[in-house]
Parts: sequence; structure tokens; C-alpha cells
Amino acid sequence: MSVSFSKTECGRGIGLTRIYDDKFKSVSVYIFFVTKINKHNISSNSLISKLLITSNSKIKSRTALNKELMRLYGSSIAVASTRAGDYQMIGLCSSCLCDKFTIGREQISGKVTDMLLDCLFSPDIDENGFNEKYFKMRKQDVIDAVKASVNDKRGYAIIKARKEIYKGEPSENSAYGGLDEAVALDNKALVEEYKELLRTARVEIFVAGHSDAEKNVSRILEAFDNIPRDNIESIDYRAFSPIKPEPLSFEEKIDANQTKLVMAFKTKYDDIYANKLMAMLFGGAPFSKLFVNVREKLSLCYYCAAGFADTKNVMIVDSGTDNENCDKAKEEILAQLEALANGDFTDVELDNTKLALCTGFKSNNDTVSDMTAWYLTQFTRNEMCSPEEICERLMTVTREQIIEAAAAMKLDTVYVVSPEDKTEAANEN
Amino acid sequence: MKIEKTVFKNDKIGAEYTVFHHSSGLDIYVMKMEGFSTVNAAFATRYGSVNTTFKTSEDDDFVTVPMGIAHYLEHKLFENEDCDVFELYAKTGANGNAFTSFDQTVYTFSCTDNYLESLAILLDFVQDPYFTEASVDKERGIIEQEIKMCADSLERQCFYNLLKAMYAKHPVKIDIAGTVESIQQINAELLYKCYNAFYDLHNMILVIAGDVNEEDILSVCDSHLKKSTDKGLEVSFPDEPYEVAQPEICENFTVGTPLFNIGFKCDPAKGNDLLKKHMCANVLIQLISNSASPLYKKLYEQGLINNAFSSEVFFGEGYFACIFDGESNDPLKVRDMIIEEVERIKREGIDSESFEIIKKSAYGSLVWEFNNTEICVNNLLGAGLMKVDLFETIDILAKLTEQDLMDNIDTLFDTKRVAVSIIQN
Repeated sequence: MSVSFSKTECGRGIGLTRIYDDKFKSVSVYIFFVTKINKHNISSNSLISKLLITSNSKIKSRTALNKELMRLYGSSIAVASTRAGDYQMIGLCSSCLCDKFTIGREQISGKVTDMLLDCLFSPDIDENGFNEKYFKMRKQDVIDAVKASVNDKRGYAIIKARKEIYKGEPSENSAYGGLDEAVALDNKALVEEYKELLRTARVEIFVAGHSDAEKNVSRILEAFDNIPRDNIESIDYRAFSPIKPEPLSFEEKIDANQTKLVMAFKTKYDDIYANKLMAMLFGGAPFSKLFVNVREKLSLCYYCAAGFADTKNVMIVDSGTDNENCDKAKEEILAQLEALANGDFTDVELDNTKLALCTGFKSNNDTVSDMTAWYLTQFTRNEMCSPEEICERLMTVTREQIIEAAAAMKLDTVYVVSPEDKTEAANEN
Repeated sequence: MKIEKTVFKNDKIGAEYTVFHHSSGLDIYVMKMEGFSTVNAAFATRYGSVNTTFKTSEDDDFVTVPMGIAHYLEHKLFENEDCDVFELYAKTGANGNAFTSFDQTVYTFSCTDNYLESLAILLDFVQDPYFTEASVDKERGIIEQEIKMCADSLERQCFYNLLKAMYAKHPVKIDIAGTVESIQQINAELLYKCYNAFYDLHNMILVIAGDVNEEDILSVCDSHLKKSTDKGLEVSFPDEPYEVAQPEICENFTVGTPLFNIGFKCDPAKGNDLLKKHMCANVLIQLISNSASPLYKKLYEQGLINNAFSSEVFFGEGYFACIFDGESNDPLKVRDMIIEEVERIKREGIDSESFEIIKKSAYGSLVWEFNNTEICVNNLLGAGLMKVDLFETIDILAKLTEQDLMDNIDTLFDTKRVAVSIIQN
């Protein structure tokens, strides 16, 4: 048994990807609509997708829809959402047991696919817009999700930092957008946006899991045949974030126990896998420079991690530390990057990093959702390589390329979120 | 070495696993999953944050140690005398990790190549502690930051506050990592004492799942497991009162929508009784509040909950609770409506259609879990530490009746044993 992959361009801006492996006991369908992020559509697309999974014209009650899915062995129809650089991929996905694993070989995967298509193409809409009751409730969900960003302080610091790192770019918008945009969402306008999404957005369909899923492909394509498609948005996923002339620093005080430090580095060095490998050697593994030095040697933090976003050519480091140690952590992070740029790493460290990255890549073969995410990411790089093919390429990255990648990283933005002085805050109140 | 072997099989879902009782005292669980690239492994001890009072055959009496040692030990075992364990894993490409929960400490790795070499590393470092006062001191700063990081996650904070509200004496009420104060008391001597008591192979299990070869695994185990003598470990817990410690606990913190956790305190259980109790609680909690339930519909449509609402059955040594959590501007109203729904079900009985749907859905979830090596390892680990057969869950589910639920609802959802934790602005 092994993974079989194929990609077909069906015309009218619709891509169909099949990823089959009979070791899986389930089948999944993902339908993504790809749109460029803006201040408004990040909230509206989120609400549209939430409404589509709540009810449809055939099953108008959320309770009844959920009950039916549970009856089908706990199948699911959910929002599928991810982002790559300045684009969001938003839509729906269904997952269910493979028919042969149901009691008495009940045929369920066709039914679940039909329900997914009903949710997507036959929503619960009248002349006033989406079902008004659900519109209000789901809109409140979006508002609450925006407000909830403050609940996790590490995540909050990254959201706030991204606003400055990507200032003026679509990527500055967080997953649910801003509170004002969420509050302003209008039902009738939302229906028009839904229709526009169906008509003009690039579509990526994934059918994945056990090869039994193939029997549902034709009904998905037929459903797309019945909708108008024109003015398809052209897409260029890679839009490097401009490097600020001088690094900018920001500080914010909030109700927290620990200081969160976020540092963004930008680069013009355009080699995805050299940059990824360098970021991992720098701070992506428990044997990386940041882990070994900032955490283990200096005991400054519990986490200090680096990640590279290839669509923006940006490396972000985040850490949590005591406020009095924040400058020391910052200095050490910069010193470790400089050390890499000076070639202060061994060939063994580089080989180990390659091995660790390859382990991560190849393990994508083992879940349906990871395989889907893998190929979706490949498409953003205009490639269709398997994890094994990318591992081969990774092995050819040289020491010199790592040095070049590290040397090309320029500090761009520093964002610090630190605990407010509780006595001061109490006095102000 | 002499090894006893037992094969467990379930034809309905096409899965099987083997348990080897190794002469070292260790039980080894192996699930062969053909076609999977990833191998996942876990080496675990029945030792978590709640095990603060214990004795072995070498002790005259029970000893009580500071909170947070199990977690501190987990950190320190990654440091060998001459190198860091992550450096060893780096050579095999494995992703090594560990976690401490309330009642277990688990060392894991996942890899796509060289699993036998990684297994050898795992077995070696967990059996070979090396602590000095200097190395223990060095770790304190890192763990302090971990405790502060967790305190900045309000969902987690709300959950811990609920445990404080439910439990008056049981150590489950304290954070797994301990507190910044309690970890100041931890030293090398205490770490060795706890290690020697709990890291006895008779108190541990090894689980491995993936496209693996049993004989090769046993060969690595034969070479790397040290002979262990049963230390006669006994653990003790304070007598926990029947009632909750306090019905409401509220903390102010900057938060989006107020967070809540609502818990029904229940009597703990062990072995197969625990398995059945867990299954009853799981099905009941879904009947009461899943997204197809009448209560969920009411709460959601009245704007009392949002998409963040969920529920879980929480259990371990000496504790068991059914917990609902979410965001609400009126958490006390949510609590009252949950209690009303529980009382209604007690009066009117189980809705047969919903019961059958939930059983079918639960069956689907159980089969689904065999799609993933990591989930299989986690599930085998849970079953192995409880000393029950993983597939027993499927049989218990198949045989579960409405009467079983009605027989258990009074003890699982005792409306006089409810606590609520709220975090609000």
C-alpha cells in the first residue's frame, strides 16, 4: 500500500486532487475557495463558511443536520480554512468512515458527500439573506472569536506583532479579522459575497483517504458544472514582505504573567528549503541554536521557537520570558543568528536538522488531513512534489546556502507584550 | 529472556495488538499498522502530579513530597551525564518529546526511519537518571517560565480553578507543574527518591505502533531493559469529602467573553469498572449536551453559549468528573440549565433515538482512531495503564443499554455535587 496522488485541472479555475491510500479507514472531501485577504473578507468568509455548515435548504435545522451526521457514524461536515501568505483558502470539508467499516457495510460516503454539496450549493437562503436566526448566532460566534484572541497571551502577542510585521499587506489581518468588521457584517451583502465566492474564486477540491472515495468524485464535479464561473481571480501566492528601512520596535502592556517577545526577520534570499532548513537549525528543533542556548544554557525561557513563512519570506521567532530578561533574550537570539551567518555550526548539526525536517515531511503520509495540507502547500509553491521528493531536494542543501540564508535575514520588527504593573493598573481604575 | 505473549484482536474493525510481559517486569504493547510511514512509541510510568504521597518496601512509612516533582523529573531525565537526549534523537531523525499529566508521565518519540535505534535511546535514557544540584537548579528557571506561560492561557486557568472548586484535599487540585513556590523545594535527592519509587518497570509500560516488527522490538528490549525488582510501591491519597469544596469560584482577568467550566464531581473507579463508568459518562454527557441535543439548541439559541462550548469526561486515580466548558455572559444560567436538563432526563428517561445515534457515532469514532499511529499509541497507553483491553471499549459500547445509563445517571450527574469556575473581566 502506498499513497497515490493525481492532480487534474478541470477548467474554469477548478483543480481536483486525488490522494488515495487504502491503509485509511475513512474518506474525506475538501473544497477550498482561494481568495486574497482583505480587511473585510476575512470576517465575511468566516461567517459564510460557518453558516453553510449550520443548515441548508433541505435540512433547515442545525440540530437535525448534526443528528443526521451522527447517525452516519459520526461523520462530519466542517469549515475548512487555512491561509498561505496573502491568501486564504476557505470552504467546507466532509469526513466519514469508509463504507466497508460500517456495521453491515452501510453505504454512507455517498450520502455524506451529497450533504456536503447541499450545504455548499443549496444554502438556507431566502430574500432577506441567510436564515436570520442562524445569521445572528453565527455572527456572534465570529465576534466572540475575535474577542477571544486576548484569552491566550502567546497567540495574542503574535496576532499583534503580525499587524506591524505586515503593515499595509493583506497578511496583517488575523484569522477572524477585526471587531469593527465583524460587527458590521450584513446578511444581504453576505449572500452576494457568497455568490461571488462561488463564481470567481479559484477552487481546489481534494478527495482523499481510502480509494473507495473515487466513487463520489463524479457527483462533486457535476455539482460544479451547475454553477456559473467567470472572472476567476488569478493567484500569485508568493508576495515577499518588504523589509523596513530600519527595524521597528513596539511594546504593549497587558494583564499577563509573562513577557512575550516576538521578533520578525525578513529576507530577499529566495530559496524556500535553504531558508526552512536554516530556520529549523536556528530555532525549530530541541537541538536548535535557540533551544540549546536561550533555553537550556541561559534558562531564560520555556519556549523560544523560529518558523519560516515561505510565501512572505519572513522568519518569526517567539518566546516567553520574565520582563527583566527580555533584553537578554533578544540579544541572545540576535547573537545566535549571527553565529549561524558566521558558519558557527557543524556538518553533523546540519545533517541532523535535515533528518528531523524529513521526518516531519514524511509523516504527512499518515493522515488524510496532513496529506491534503501538504499538497495544498505544494500548490502555493507551484509544485506537486511528494514528501519523499522534497526530502531528496533538502538533502542537497549545502552549508554555504545555510550561511547565506542566515546572513540575508534582516531584523524587521520587534513586538513585546509585557505584564502591566497591577498596582498601577488598579490606581488608574 | 522469558516473555509471555497475549494477542488481542477485533475482527469488526480489522485491528489487533500484542502484549508481551517481559521478564524485566515491563509490559510491552505492540500494534502493527501496515503501510504507515510513522512509528510512534511511548514509555510511560504510572506517576503523575497527584502522586505526592507514597511508600515502597524500603520506606517505614508514607512520605509526602512537594508538588511538581513528576513534571520536574520529566524535564531532568532528558539530560544524561555526558549529553542531552535530544542530541541522540537528532542522529536518528526522531522527534522526541514527553508530557506529564495528573496520573502518568510519558516519554514519546515519532519517526519515519531508524525506529529501533530511537527505541534504544528511549529505553536507555528513561532508565538512566543523572541529576546534580547544579543541573536541577538550572532547570528551575525554565520550569518557572513554563508555569507562567500556562498561567497566561485562560482556558487552562479556568479548568484548574474548577478542580480547586471541586476537590478539597485531592492533589488533582494543584497544577501539574506545581507552583513557582513549590518547585523551589525540589532538589536532586528528592528527584532520585521519586524516580526510584515510580520508575520501576513493574509500574511502567512501553507502547509502540506503526509498520514495525515484533521480534526486532523484543530484541532491542532484551538488550536495553534493566532487570527490575518490584519495589512494592503504594500510593496514598487524602480522604476526599463527598461534596465539592466550593460551588463557585471566580477570577478576574482580561478576557474576551467570560469563560466557564462546570463540573459534576463523581466517585472514582478502577479497571473494568472505570471503563464502563467512562463509557456511561461519555454517552450521557453527549445525550445531555451534544450539538444535536435539545439543551444545546436552547443554550445556543438563547445566546448563552457560542461555538466554543464543549464537554469532557475527566478521570484518573482518585478522581472522576463530567465537565462542560465554554464562553458565556451568564455562566450561572448555563449551569442551572444543565442541571434542569439532567433532572429532566432522570425523570423522563433516555430518548431512545438519540441513544442509538450516539452509540453509532461513538462506534464510528472508535474505528476512526485506528487511522492514526499516534492516536493508537495514546489509546493503548490509556488502556495499558488502566490494565484493561483496548477492544473492551468496543464491546462495552455494543452492549450498553438505556438502563445502564439510568442506573448510573444519579451518581455521574449528582446535582448536589456541582461546581462552577468563571473567569471574567
